[in-house]
Amino acid sequence: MLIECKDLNKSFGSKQALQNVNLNVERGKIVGLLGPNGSGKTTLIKILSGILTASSGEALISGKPVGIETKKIVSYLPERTYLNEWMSVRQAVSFFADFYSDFSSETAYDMLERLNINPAERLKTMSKGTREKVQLILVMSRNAELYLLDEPIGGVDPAARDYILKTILSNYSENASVLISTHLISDIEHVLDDVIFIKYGCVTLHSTVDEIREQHGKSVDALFREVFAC
Amino acid sequence: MLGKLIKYDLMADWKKYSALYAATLLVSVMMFTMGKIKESIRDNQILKIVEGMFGVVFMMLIVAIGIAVVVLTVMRFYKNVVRDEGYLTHTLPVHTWQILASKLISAYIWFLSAFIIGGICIGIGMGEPFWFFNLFEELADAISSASNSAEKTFIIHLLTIIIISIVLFPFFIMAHTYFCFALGNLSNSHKLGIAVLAFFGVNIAENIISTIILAFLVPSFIDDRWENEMMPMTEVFRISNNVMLIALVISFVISLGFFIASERIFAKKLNLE
Repeated sequence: MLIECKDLNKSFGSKQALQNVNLNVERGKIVGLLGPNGSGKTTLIKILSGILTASSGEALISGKPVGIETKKIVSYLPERTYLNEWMSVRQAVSFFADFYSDFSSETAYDMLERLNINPAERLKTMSKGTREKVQLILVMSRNAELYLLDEPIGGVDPAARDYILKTILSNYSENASVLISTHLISDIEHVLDDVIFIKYGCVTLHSTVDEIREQHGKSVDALFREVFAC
Repeated sequence: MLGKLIKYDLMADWKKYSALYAATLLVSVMMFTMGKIKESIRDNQILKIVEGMFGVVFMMLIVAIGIAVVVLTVMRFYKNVVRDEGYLTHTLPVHTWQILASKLISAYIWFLSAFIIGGICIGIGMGEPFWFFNLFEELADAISSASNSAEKTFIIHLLTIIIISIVLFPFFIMAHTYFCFALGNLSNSHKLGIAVLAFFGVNIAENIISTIILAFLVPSFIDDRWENEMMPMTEVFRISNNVMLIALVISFVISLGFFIASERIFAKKLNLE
């Protein structure tokens, strides 16, 4: 099992962001982490990446508790721009190559070229959308075991979305899994193997996309709208 | 990994420091040139005004170097560890102590460079580029010309404490800063505001603790003979040395505690917004 969450809880003061989350994710899957705003998607991803510590319970990645060893095999894309603004794209590539032994500079430069991003350009002068593309390229240029992508397509134009989804599909190996949190379900539905619905910090559904279509006779997007109708 | 972290920490700010150092060096050379011109052309009011203006700019730049090194190192820590860049910093496969040590070592490098560049600039501006070495000679003369052994010992001890204090000053500042940001990190909102409040609170608490420990360890520190001028000078020297030494040790122990506590908080209770 690649991800194991056992009775995972996280509270911020009196607000319970995650409640007794029990979750197992296998290798070789693209998993959609779906839920409305404030449902706990980002909190769960942050705990798995080591940005937040759980209030109680346990999160294991490849059998190891979240820490320096899991950071070597987890490639995390947050929902905000986290690159050092003083860097040029080339320096950001060198930075990743310096710290992550599974990073491929060749793959990164190839993807940058396809998206017409100049490696000499400074991140500070780029638009938010372009910076997000650079981040995604850096994250997906790692040969990681687990990719944690928090809203990877939220800030980019529809044309770039297709390329990004293709990138995600083509860059992960069968030994790896991708956990994607997003609101844009219809855009990513066709690439997902499994979906996890999360509501008020609780996992309400964990199923394969095929099972949803068979059992409910509808798409993931349609089921999501039904389950989370306001 | 620590070396790589330090490399990127230095790369982040070197342009800002270089610009500041270059501006200060330029103005100090102008000051020096102005002084030479003034020597050859006496009683020129315009030259005096221009020299005065350069003097003001020069002093502002020297002060700016001191302030900039503190502000930039604190800002670097805040942006890179606590704010958005922290999402990358804390997901690197490195230990938390390496992140903090990298920030501390790079801060030391900037403090040292500011100290050296500032010293050289002051020397150039005064027309004595090697005044720093002369200072050491003057201190050695002061020690050798001391009237008695107690006075000599006092001066040597005092100088030693001052040098150690200067060396440890960046550590004191950074350890306090790390700890306050670490406390701010524990809160779910207003992290920066809490860190600022913690800074004042921590300093007040540290001063109270230091005073209590000093009063306990050096009772003569609160002796009323100080006021009545009844105390012999040798006794004054001895007490002063003890007080300064103990204050330095207390600051070091507290700062070390802050550094370790910060490492534990960021490692075990990381809570980025």
